[in-house]
Amino acid sequence: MPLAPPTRHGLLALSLALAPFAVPVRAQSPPRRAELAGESLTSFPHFQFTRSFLLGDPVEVGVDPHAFPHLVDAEVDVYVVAARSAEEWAEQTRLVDVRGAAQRVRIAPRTIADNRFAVDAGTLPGPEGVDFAAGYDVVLDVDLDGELGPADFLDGGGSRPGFFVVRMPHLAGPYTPVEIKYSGGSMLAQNTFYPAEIAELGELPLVVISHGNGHEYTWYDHLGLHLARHGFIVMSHENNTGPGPNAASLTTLTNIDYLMEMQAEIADGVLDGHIDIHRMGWIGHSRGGEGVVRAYSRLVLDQYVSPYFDEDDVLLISSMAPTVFLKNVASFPGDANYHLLFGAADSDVSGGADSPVVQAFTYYERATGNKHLTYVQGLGHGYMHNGLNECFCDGPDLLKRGHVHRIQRGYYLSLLSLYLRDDLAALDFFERTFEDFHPPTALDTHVLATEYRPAPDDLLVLDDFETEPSVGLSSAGTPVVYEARNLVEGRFEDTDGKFKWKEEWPMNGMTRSAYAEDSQHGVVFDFGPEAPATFEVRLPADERDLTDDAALLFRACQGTRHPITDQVDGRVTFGVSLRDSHGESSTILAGNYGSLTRPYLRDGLGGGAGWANEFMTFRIPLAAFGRDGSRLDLASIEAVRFHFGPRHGSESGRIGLDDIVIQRGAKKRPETQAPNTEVRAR
Amino acid sequence: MMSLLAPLFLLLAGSSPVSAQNDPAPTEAAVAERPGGVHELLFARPFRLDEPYRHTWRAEQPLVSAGYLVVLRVDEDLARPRQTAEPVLFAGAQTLERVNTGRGSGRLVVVLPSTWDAQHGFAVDLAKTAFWFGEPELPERIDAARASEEAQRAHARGVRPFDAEAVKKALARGGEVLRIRDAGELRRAAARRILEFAPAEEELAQSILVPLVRPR
Repeated sequence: MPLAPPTRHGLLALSLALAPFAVPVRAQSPPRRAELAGESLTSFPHFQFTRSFLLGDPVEVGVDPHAFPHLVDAEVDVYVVAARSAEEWAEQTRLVDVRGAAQRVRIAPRTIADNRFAVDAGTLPGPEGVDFAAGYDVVLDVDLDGELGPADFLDGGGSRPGFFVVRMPHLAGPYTPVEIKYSGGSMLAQNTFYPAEIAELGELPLVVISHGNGHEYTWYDHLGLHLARHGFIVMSHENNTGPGPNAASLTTLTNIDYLMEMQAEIADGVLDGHIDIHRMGWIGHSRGGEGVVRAYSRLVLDQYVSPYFDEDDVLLISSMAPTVFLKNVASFPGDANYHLLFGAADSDVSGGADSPVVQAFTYYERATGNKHLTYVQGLGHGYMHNGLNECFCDGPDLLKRGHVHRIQRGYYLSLLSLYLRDDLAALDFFERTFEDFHPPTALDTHVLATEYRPAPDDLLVLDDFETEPSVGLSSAGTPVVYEARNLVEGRFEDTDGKFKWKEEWPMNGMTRSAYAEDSQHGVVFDFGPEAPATFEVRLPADERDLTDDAALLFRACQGTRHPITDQVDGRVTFGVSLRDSHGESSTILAGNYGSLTRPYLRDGLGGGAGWANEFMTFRIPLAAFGRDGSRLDLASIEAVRFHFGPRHGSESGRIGLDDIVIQRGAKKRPETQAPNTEVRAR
Repeated sequence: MMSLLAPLFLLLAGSSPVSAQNDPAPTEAAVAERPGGVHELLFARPFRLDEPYRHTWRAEQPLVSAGYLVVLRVDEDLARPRQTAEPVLFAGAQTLERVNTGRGSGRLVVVLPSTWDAQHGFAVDLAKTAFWFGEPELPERIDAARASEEAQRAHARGVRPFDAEAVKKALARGGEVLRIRDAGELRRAAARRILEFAPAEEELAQSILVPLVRPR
């Protein structure tokens, strides 16, 4: 469901599109907007308002009685309606529940936990055709008149629906894929996929796949066929990886030019006029994964000029297990939308501490725009393509090729839909933790650690540890107060080449800064049942009003092969608080959203088992801290505090913590069941 | 890398050098292994191009308009493709362009650039050119100075040119000078050598030999 015009930064475009809600209902005041659809959490805040639901998943509606005091003890009708635009709501206020009938509920007085209503068990229809998601609006019909009016509450109806039911992204789409192979000469052989129905489909986004060294361009049909079924043109090309990623990057660029130049002749011109060169996604593998970043850098640095496209046309770069031969002056994702898919079991680009070339996380760290990381335990190098029969993998619980391809199909369709088609519904797969929401995988036992960071113009950085080396001072220049054992702030670099834990090197397992020019910092510390830890960052005095902001984001990990990690031998959870200037605080257990993975139990590079540290990004909506009549004043937030210890989750752990930021803009995000002004004034 | 460092002078009795031009699987078991990991020169065909191309397997990226299409029997472990730095394949002062991986055969089809002029012919004399695997590195980072260092190290390790008889046989098997248009045609010629000498990599060869639309 496209929501915004094409731009380079899809998320920015979407954000701008999600302007404050105003439904021009004729001759009367508009209904109030409220987030309603979501799902239950196990503890406070008891409910999260979510944007997307996987096809077949149950949908709930939550009502915080403190946000709607006038509804307490009242009966209201809950409608689930096929999504309408503001204009459509203006034209048609009659409520038509897609389930056949509205659902009458009584609003209980105490907490949202008492007002969580199952509105669908997973029967809502998903999208039709090539759409990624089907949109629905939710209405609380307060006056029970079956019409949307000023007394009612509407979730949706603006630039986006109240919620989406998203397709199973790993499953086949509606179109019939066609595969062709042809060549324009040396290093210009291409394997291209497109929908057979292309003549009726207008311009389609272009996905370019650049293979790795010793790989072949014909080894990515699991992606080509899948994406063509969903309406993409996919061109996998011969890639000159043998000399190195610098040479490979040129073949990425020349192959795109060749495709554009020859589109009238390739396959009798079937692609002619259908390639949307201004909506490109580049996927590279291994040396090709580095090559696509270098290719983008060439465009930015004016080291390559195409007659058909420039860097603004590259809406997504995704590297699968990229090498890191090149320094960041020559190879950088810059502010492009960037994604890294990496396997903890990779025995080629191993992710080990023993060589900068294999520390693929570095490219995620170099990216400065919207960026995403999908780190998969048990994933080897060779199964990301479909050639040969070697997984190039090492470690326990290895994924089979079919499992890997299913993960790729699901994540790549989502990623490409998000950035090449502006399908906001797909963002949930990247914004929420894997435990919370993810494309279906082959086995429930798969372990993925995901990271996400929006572009900086969308963020207030509290502490990313990059600009203030003092432990007691945040990047924002505010005090940092902590009680934690063995806390060290430093560079995320494991310099001894081993993953075996050593006390004298606290950054063990941090493989985020391959070269001197790559500089990523954070803190590590540990805690135990007798020594719980806290880490608090104060907000700048002029940045304490968070009422219009969306969420708190941070990333954390366990420390590999640390004695405490080995002792815990499982996932780790903790708590997060906001404290206001009146001394009120509100605490949420991060375990509601996810828990820190046990580092993959791969051995080698020293004694013990456990591979690189697996950071995970948590995104906790700010409004959730104010749930259920919390006295927290979001207009005057003084500090963010993390709590580690038995009262807030795991008894003990070894932790890495980084990138504590506030995401701006509540209006464009879910979780805005804002309390009414009476409650806010208290 | 141990095989690079270990002395590999293992002369076996009853060697059976390649001779038949169309023999797809010459007997190799009795052929000596050599220091540097390049054991046998199986095929060599000189070529000349109408349109030069850039030799990207070299930092200076010289233009190539002539050279040799060569098939080598090599240490398969050294040739094994990987994403990290691989042992660079040298011939004399030049880096070689590998077309295949040697997977399953230990045979590499490579391009050895050379200059050519009407008076002197091909500047590279295969009988005076040693072949070896050097240190792991990206070929695109190898410049003349680095190639010279590698050549000196190789010589110190005992790497020497193939004997004149082996070169003569390889050239005989290769045949006359291949006169073709450009790098694309050269790559297709190389693909046919893959089918002949490294049939386990047929998929790669066929992926090069897909129908031409129109050369760029």
